[in-house]
Amino acid sequence: MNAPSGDVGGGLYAAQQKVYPREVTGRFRTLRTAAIFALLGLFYLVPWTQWSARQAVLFDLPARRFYIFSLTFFPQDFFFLTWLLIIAALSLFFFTAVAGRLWCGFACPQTVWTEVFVWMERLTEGNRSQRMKLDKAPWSPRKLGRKSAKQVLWVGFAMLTGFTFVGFFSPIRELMTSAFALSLGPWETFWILFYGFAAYGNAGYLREQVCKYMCPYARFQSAMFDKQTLIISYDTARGEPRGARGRDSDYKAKGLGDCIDCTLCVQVCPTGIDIRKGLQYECIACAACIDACNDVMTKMSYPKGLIRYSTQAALEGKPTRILRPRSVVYGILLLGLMVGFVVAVAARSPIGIEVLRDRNALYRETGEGWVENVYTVRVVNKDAGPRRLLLTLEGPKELSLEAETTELQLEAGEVKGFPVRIRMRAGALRGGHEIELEAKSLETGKKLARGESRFIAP
Amino acid sequence: MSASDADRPPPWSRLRQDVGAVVWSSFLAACLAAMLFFAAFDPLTLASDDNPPWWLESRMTGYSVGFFFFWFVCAVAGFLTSALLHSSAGAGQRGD
Ligand code: SF4
Ligand code: SF4
Repeated sequence: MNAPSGDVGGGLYAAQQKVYPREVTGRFRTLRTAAIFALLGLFYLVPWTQWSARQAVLFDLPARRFYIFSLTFFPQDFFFLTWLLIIAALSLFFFTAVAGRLWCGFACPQTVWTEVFVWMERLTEGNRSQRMKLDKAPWSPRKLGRKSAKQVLWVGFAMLTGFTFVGFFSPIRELMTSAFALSLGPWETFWILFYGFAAYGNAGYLREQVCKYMCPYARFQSAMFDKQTLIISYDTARGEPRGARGRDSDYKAKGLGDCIDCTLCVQVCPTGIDIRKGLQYECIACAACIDACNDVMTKMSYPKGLIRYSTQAALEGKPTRILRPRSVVYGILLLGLMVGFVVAVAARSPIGIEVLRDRNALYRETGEGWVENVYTVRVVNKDAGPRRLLLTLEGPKELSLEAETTELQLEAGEVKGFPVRIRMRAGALRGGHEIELEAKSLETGKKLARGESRFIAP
Repeated sequence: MSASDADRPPPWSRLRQDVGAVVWSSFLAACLAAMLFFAAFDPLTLASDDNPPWWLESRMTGYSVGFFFFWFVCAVAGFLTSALLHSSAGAGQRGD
């Protein structure tokens, strides 16, 4: 771990120097660009996708329901959310153990948005040396023009990002109408600005400093890695001793390795580390150094891959095994959880029932010798079509169900409360008794859901 | 252009590292807390009478205020933890 530098305190507002990573081209650069297009394409387009007259993916927080294509989730489905979180945590362990920080280099929002902001910076301020020169130069109309162009792009893109983000939680088409009519709600406005500002700050300014100093994932790397984990590494045995040489010189005779010490791998690194010093937690596995080094190797007519995807085991000359206890156990667990999740969602009852006791009275004695308990039955229809249900009581035979109607009619996605009473002849039972209210399909008679409660007698 | 350390940013100061780490990890923790809490509880039913305080008047307000509340509480815990870990208790006695 980095020892903190001498200046403790006061440094928070000190001007920070920037990283000026050199631009790079190559196979992995292309792959990363493809990943960025795919992921950001999904992010910006998914909210606009429609599914049977509504937004296909909408986490409708105000209405407390999530729509994901044909599925609708309600707070009653809380259990699926926790299940998903467990799957997410386990995937993290699994993919990190197998593929290292592939996530960081290719999929983390931090990296992906940073790439876009860096691209906009390049577009307006030029390449690495042009940017360094521009920053050192005194203010001039040209500098002002370039810097403002960059800010216009950044702020515009950040606002679009914030807007899209909110569009996952509040219908995006209506959001756009109100944005143009300047009638956005206060919280919508706030969250658009908040998320937009977070994107602007994190991707425009903090960049890989987030990975280096703030992200917990980066620090757990050593706990999740093993010798078989895919990492980006420099082949020390092949590269050392490093040293400058002429293009056609017989460097082997001089006792030199393949590394020509051009330091390009360091210049392209967005976190500013030297991969030749070995695996470091700062490395976000962006593969920029691979591309840079392969370029050099090609120019020198040396074989590629002095820096490459490899594993600790392979570097030590041992075989790499993808199948090993750690990956197999994680993999089986993960697969089991995912299959279970899909099965559980598919088998999810389309109806949810909650029986809420009247809070005001334990029981009520009517004039005609009956004792009653009062309930509200809350029924949710999670189905995509309307449903007709029959409500029945399961419990001691002394009890009977009294309601205006026991035939319940619910539209698709509707949540409705029905008042019901359960009663018995006075004195038939004493104390508390478990009861269940069951909803059956009126058409098929199939039991769809049940809700539990208690009947209290004097 | 050489790759000397001069054109690299200096490492963050300790204070900056602490603030960065605490703000970011408490943000992640608050996201999780808010998600689980509001999946289980509806802001509109949290108030027990007909005259709810302003932060429970609408769901969006409830969620938003709740999220910042969680963030704040998590950040307090984070700052206290980092302060405790950095101020070495008993360093004099153990001589380390
Ligand atoms: S270190 Fe953290 S923030 Fe950076 S890319 Fe990896 S996961 Fe994302
Ligand atoms: S060492 Fe290479 S892979 Fe790692 S962050 Fe730097 S350039 Fe990217």
